[in-house]
Amino acid sequence: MSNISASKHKRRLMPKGTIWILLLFSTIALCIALIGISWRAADLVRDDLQVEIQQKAEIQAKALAEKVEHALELGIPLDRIVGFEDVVVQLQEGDPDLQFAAILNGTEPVHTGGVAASTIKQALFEENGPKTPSTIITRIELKSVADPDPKQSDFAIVIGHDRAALMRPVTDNLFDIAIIFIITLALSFELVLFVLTVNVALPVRVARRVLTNVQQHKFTILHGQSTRDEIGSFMEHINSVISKTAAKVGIQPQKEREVKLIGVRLLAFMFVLAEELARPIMPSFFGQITASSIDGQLGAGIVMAVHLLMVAIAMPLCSLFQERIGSLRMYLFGAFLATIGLCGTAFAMGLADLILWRALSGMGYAITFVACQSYVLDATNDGNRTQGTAMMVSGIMLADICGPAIGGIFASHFGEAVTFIAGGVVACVAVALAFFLMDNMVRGKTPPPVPTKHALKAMLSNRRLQVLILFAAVPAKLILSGFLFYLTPLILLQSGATTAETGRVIMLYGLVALLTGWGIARWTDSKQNEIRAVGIGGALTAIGLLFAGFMPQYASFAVAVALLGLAQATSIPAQVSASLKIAADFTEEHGTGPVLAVLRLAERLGGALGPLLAASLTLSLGLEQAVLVFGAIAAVCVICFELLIGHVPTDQKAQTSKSEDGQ
Amino acid sequence: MIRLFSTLCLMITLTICTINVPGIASASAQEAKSLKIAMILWRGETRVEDGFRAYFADRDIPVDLQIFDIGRDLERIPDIISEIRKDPPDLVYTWGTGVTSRVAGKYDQVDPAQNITDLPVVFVMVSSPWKTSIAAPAGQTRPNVTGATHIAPLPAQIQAIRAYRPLTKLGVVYNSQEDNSISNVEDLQALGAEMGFEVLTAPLGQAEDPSPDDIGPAVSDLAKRGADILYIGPDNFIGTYRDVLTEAGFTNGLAAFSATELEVRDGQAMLGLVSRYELVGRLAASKVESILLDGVSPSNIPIETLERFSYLINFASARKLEMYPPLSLLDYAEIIK
Repeated sequence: MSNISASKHKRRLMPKGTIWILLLFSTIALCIALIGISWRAADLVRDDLQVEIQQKAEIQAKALAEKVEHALELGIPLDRIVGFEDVVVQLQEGDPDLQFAAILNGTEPVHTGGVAASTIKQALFEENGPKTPSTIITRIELKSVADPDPKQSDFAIVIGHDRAALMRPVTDNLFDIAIIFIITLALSFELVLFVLTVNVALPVRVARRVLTNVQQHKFTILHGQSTRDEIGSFMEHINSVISKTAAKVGIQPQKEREVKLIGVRLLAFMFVLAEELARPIMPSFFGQITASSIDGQLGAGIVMAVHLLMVAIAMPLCSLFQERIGSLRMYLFGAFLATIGLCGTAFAMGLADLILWRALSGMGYAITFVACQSYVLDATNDGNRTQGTAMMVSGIMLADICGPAIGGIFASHFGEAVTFIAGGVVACVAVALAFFLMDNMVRGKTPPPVPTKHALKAMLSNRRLQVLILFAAVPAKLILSGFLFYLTPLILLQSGATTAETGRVIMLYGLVALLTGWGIARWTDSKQNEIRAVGIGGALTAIGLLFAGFMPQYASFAVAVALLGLAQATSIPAQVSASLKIAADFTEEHGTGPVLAVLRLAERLGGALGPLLAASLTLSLGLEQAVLVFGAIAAVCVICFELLIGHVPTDQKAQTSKSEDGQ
Repeated sequence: MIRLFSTLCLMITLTICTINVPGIASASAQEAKSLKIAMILWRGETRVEDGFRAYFADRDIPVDLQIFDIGRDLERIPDIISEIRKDPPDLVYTWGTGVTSRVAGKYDQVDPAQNITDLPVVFVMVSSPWKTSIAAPAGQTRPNVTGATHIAPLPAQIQAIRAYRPLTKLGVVYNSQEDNSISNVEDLQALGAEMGFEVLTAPLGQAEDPSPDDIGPAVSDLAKRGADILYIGPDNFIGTYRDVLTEAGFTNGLAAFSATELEVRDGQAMLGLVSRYELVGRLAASKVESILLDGVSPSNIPIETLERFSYLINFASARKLEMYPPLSLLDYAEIIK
């Protein structure tokens, strides 16, 4: 029999010690590789660009020369030409990299524009110097200058371009490059983390336990974390030695192994990625398909609403059955539905079938989400549950960040329908991966008894759970959807920010949540104070929103969104742990499903209410006031939460702590 | 009761007048024969009339033009009107503010005895028809008068000057006896406050009729006061003695800007933002066609100017003053060598 790792003692989910050095090394290696590749790409671009800049400069120089020659033909003496500087300024308006232009007699500037004559002379001097000049000089001769002594005259037009222009494609797209860099790094990190944890960290940890056991002259456990590398073959030898020794003393050793919880992170990433890939093109794609039946925008809205509705309905329902069906089967079913839904969407013909495909996708999304969550809950205990949830949430956040960015690039190259098929392929791959990544140790547990009506009523009347749901779970999602997805884009776009700039601010939410989530979860688990974490999350949200409400500027919105990311990373995983702790009496007998179903349903309702509330506040008070009201709601909720969660009947509190001690 | 009766009588009279305007009621009947147009001109035929004729020639529309040249003498107009009335044409064409003002009268001071009210009148070369009350104010129309103006909007004129050289003080020598000149100076002064330049004025003819001998001293005075450039507006007197003005400008190192073509093309003004006379004539001809052939009432045809203007540079003047045009202007200005 295997030794189920969801033991009651507190332990780490992630490796510690030297493994981090290895990860750090991998990250640095990845960074170096990415920078190297980027630098080489930039180098190639520079070569192409140098030619283009020279061609452009020659055209500009010829245009200038034509003007000057026209003036000369009219009879304007060269030294009496007027407005050369203005013409250069006009050229600079169309070409910001143009630094200067000048009419030269030999090396002496006769007319200059853009910069002072001395600077031009310096640039011309540098051109012949040993160092790479900071300016790209282009020169063409002026032929029709009527000069009294042509032998002594050498008239030319020179144009100087900033050499930094060669790096313009890089500097202009710095933000986009940074985003792609972070995404690449995050994806690589994700894979490295998974491979190292499964192949190195877990086997070594189990091996350590086995060897410690042997050191204590106990031969009760064998290494069961199979790997096909040196660790695996070494531990096989150890296992045979233990088995022989145990047989001699009449002991039957059992295989020891740990659940591959890290796998759920990749699975969560996969199922969200499948959906998020097509996120940027959804409104336009749905609009095109439904345009034949109804107004395209309305059609897209209906299709998206049906998807959300299906997620909202399926999620709590699935939570009720999660323990009966088992995480693996549930995940496989969900990913299968998502595959069908996404592929069907790619080939949708009209409104009716599109709604059907999107409903299937929504159902698949909800089922895989619940499967991952139930897997985490089954494989963790009170000591590491927040970390486990945060691990899953990190995977989701990463997909939220990477999905639209990758999907956008994918759609621009291969088309919208293909992007949905790509999502379907990702979901399909997730089905295959689930067999390897979801540990069979948490499959097919005995289902808990169906909760009685009385038990459900008792759970729902739990005051602390009510407070948690009403003043933390609902407002968290309400603010997320209302502020982040509705008000922020509207206000930023109205204030003149570009779509890309708005996207970057919204992306901050996911980035901050991703980067801080793990650390915060560890802190929450170490302190064993999820309620405090939920309160801190609420307070951070309120501070951010009030700040943005009072100072509605681009920077303050970026701060507010980042704070919201931090707040959600603090609060959301803690809410799951807190709800299960608060309803410990119920979960001991009836499992975690119903509690999570209630929590999810409340969250989704909050999420659906967010945009509606934001829209009505915008209509009645205006955008900026709506942000303030959202800030006020967050502040009131966190105050109520803090006041009421601590003022519950003592017997209920005692009961809860008793049940916690019992674990 | 009496007021009501008078109003009714007036309305009936106006209605009858409108109906009786020849060419409106019987437009279709005119198509077969030549359009008979009486042209009352200020100083003989110009390129405006060339454009006017060319318009009809291009369309094979036969026109019978009856030319009345007043030789810059407005006193001859009553006799011309009497003559016209003896053998009425289909339409009367008038050149310039002075001629049009006498022939069509002011919109609120029409005298059927002295002005033409029973024939359509199409004017050209009236610089500011609203300021001089030739056109009715916004919201009102004149039953028998429409036309084509030729002056670019004043802000565009100032921008045109500034495209050539900086402008802070604009010198204007004008005939204070001409309404259009006075109104133009007032407009320039109002615009100066907006666009940041000062208008230095040198009015002529305040005590007695203006004399060409007054122009030179007036220009010298403006030069002493720091004028950057001389402005030649819609002024018949200055137009007549434009060379005196520009020569005085050369003496004092002052260039001249003109809002009308002839001063640059045939005179010595250094630059101008102008309507091409030929195009103004064609615009007026299109209005005549609408009235006489399409049967549209003049009251329904807007008084318009051209949509595009020409930037003219008289290079001989620029060379004389050593004020060469900026390179950027050479791209679009017409250089008159």
